[in-house]
Amino acid sequence: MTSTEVRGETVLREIAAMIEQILDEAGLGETEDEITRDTVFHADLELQSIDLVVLAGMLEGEYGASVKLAAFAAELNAEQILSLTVGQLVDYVLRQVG
Amino acid sequence: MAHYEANGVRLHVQELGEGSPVVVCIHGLGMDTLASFYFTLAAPLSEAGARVITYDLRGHGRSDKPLTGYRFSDTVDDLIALLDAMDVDEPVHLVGNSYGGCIAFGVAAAQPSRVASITLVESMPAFGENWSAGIAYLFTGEIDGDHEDVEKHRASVRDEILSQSNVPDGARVDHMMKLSGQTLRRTGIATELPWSAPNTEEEIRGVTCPVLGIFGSRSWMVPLAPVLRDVQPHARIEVIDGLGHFILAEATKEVVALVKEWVFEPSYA
Repeated sequence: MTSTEVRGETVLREIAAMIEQILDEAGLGETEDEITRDTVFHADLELQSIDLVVLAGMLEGEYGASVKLAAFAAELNAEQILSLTVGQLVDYVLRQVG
Repeated sequence: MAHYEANGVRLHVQELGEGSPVVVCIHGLGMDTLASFYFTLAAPLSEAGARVITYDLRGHGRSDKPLTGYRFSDTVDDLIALLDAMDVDEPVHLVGNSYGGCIAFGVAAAQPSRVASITLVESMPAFGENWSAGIAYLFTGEIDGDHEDVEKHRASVRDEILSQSNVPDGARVDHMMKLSGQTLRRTGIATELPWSAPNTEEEIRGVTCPVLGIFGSRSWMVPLAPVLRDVQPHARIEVIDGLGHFILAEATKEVVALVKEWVFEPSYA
């Protein structure tokens, strides 16, 4: 694994932990399947857009103010937001924090 | 997550940007939350220099969901109390989506000095018998009627929602209706809001701040644009071609451009 791939794996695990916390707090329980890069927030996890707002706060807390999910999402249309995957978010975080 | 105690409830607030001008976004009823604005208007407006405040109405999103307190006046008082709690003392630009526009006019009627302008996104001020009847119609299935009537009503509301979208997706509408049903059943919205007093026509005519109304050309709201013109003769009305009720989600760029110009390069100034 290259150092970039290792960093990607780490961010994926960190974001997966944040998602588990949100699911837990929302009373949705644990996910049946492991959260991977291909996991779709809406369809696979039943996360609502308001849950993504909470995730946005966690991401900013963990990775700093350059990670702004609101700005990332503003470039997407409604359909693209609904089909957003965990991998897309990991890549965005990596782009912002290097 | 930031919460503010306002009018006896804890309201979930998300802010982007700081300073002035201040833009306060008010979402719609039922399936809606502050996310509708957070992921659309908030970033571009804050990047342009505005302090953007979005909040979840009581009973919605991550705000408190008390069983009662859902009269029209409660939702207006909540926003006034929230501005107090956040120490916002300069006049704010209110942007209301759907029911959010009713609250915007309610605040402007109650405390004119607090409001710099109103933008209605697929919305109208709350006044007249038709307003209460319209809200009651949407909620009828949640209030009474036998099971068959409720199912029939829901099916017709579902068809209407589908017809308002340019990206009709039955599963998505079912999901929206499920969320809305949860909100309505867990709170007193459906039983309190339609029967509470909206603004009077005189109050709406008395609102003097600049008003921008943005509609979709084939929405269920656009036939009311002439009514807005009647009670607010100086209102600027923009119609986005080919779209229904969901212009905030489906024509985000157009709505952002209009609101940005409205707030930063106002033709009314």
